[in-house]
Amino acid sequence: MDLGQQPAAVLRNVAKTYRVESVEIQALRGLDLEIRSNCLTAIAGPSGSGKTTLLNIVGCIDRADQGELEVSGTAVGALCDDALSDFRATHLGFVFQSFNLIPVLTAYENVEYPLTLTNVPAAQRRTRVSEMLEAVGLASHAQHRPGQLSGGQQQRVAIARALAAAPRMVLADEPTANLDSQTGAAIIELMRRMQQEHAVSIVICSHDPQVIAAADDMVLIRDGRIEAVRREVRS
Amino acid sequence: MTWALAVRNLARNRRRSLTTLAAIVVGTVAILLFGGYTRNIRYGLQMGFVRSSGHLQVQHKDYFLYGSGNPAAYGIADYRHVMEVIRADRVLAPMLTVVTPTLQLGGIAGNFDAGVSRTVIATGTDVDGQNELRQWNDYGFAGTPRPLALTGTAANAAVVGEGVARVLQLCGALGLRRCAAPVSDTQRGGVAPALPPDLASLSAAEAAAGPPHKDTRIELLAATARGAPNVASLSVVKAESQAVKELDDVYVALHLAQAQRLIYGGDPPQVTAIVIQLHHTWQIPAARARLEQLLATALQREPLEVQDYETLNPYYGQTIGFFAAIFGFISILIGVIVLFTVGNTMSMAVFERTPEIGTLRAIGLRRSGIRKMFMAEGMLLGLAGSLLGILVALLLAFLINHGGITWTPPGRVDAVPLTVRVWGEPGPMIGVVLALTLVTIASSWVPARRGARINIVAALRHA
Repeated sequence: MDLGQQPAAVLRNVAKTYRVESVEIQALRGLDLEIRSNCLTAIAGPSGSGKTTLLNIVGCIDRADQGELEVSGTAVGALCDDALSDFRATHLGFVFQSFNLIPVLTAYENVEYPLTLTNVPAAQRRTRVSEMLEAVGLASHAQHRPGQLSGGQQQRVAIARALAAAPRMVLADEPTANLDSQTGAAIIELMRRMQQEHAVSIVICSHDPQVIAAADDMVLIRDGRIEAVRREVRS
Repeated sequence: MTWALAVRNLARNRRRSLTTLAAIVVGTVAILLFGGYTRNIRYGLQMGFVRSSGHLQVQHKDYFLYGSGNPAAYGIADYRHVMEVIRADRVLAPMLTVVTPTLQLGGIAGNFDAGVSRTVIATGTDVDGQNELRQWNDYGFAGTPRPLALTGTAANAAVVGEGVARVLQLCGALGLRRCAAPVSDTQRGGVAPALPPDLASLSAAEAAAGPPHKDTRIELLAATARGAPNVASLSVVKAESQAVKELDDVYVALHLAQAQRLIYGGDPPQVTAIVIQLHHTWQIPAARARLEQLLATALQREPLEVQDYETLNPYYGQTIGFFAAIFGFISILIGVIVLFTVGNTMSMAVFERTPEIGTLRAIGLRRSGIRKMFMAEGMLLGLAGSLLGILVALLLAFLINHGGITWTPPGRVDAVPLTVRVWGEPGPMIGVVLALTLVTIASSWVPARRGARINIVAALRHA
């Protein structure tokens, strides 16, 4: 199978309802969506539209109430919790709005952590972590802890961590929301570059116009339904 | 990475970790010091009993249950042969330190010059054997044991309990303090009971045979093996307190030959027990098994049986049981305190690190990985706390043992240094480390499990 042609994720009739006390909130209402591989896809929409829920389901950290989901050709709905954890470790990377680095680990160790989960040998880990930190421009900050780094630097480390285990897809939830516009632009540029260099699919959930502008595909979501999908024709 | 994370997370919230650690250290110290104190009492009591009545005794069958005070019916006739066989046995010999006979009898001791008498339990002992028994010091207690008060005394010498001396009005002659003579019936104008004429003549004959000790002379009246009354005139050389009043009021010790002459007269002498002392207490089962083998084969001519020091001295087991109960209660209490302290600490850690849990789970750490991470923290707290506690306990034990504090333990008359045995006792130390580490792991388990089961999305939102 040509993985390059296989969609990064396919959602069929996916629905998700949250219950807050006695009130039911339909976050997703029967979504059908195909996320293309090796593309930077932006999921946009107003607050409460369901974009983060969609990202969580595609990222296999939340389960849909109905419908089917395939990620990198795997029907993840049938996987048990441990199998799903292993799947995330090998196939997916995450970048969070608040960076979510482990505060007691250095930048180096934060990037190394996903590699320890997939039992990558130590020598290989060293090479890979150095490469990733070099790629995000933080080789000289390898021994710094997150508290010693600026927001932009922390997000760079988070990007290096997300890509360290060579996943098929990286999911980023509002990665620029906690950064000033200049740093945010730099992060988007870095993610774009990394997406191309590492041939990985990146799905960014954001309403930042810079992100939407940089994306190959854009999915507009409102009230739990897809309102529009814009796909750029690949050259 | 799990251990590195655990160590760093503990260091991250230093004050809380130190408070928890302090609780474990205090718990460890309390367990080790009280355990060391209890152990010292156990060793001390054991030493006292082993020095006086040996580890094992060979007795006439049923003497222990029915024969006390009846040496005529429950004596060991061929005791010298029995002792020879025991000493010569190639299995027993390497374990033995002392094999010595004793003869216990019941009688009436009287100071008929003063017109007073009382029932007593007298023990005839071989002085050299008894002094050898007193050398046993397997637990390294300080000080040199005093020789038996009968050492180097005349054949008719006796040592009595202070209670006996008091009743027999020997306090002045023996130089006892706090032992003023009571206002007796005689002094109140009453009449002292007179010695029967036949006993008086026996007493006179006995007194004529030995050196005169007018001030401290007593008569010991007992029934001979043939059932006739007999009297021994004894010279009391010393009164020794026996710690337990009931014993102090009846205790008389005399030379074995004297006791045998009193009971058996011209007949072949017997004893009521052969006291056997071993090099080590742990040798009792092996020595007992071999003795029982010998009693069933080479020594089967007489119906004999073997008793150990715990059976012979029920007070030992009761005291040990009492201290063990207190120790168990304290240990459980400390275990519960540590359980809740560590549980609370780990619950706080899980609550505070919920977003981290979400992150780690999102990037692929299994639930079991989260559980391991928190349980590793609990285990490290338990290990570090108990190891630190051992160091503190060793230091405190050193200070206590060298602080010159004394106390009078149960069953003793003289004050002894307060000692806690922590150093040189690896068993309890290892036990405490293992037990407290297990307790901390157990107390981490519930919060760790709760952390592992947190929904990832909810955890990531928990910023």
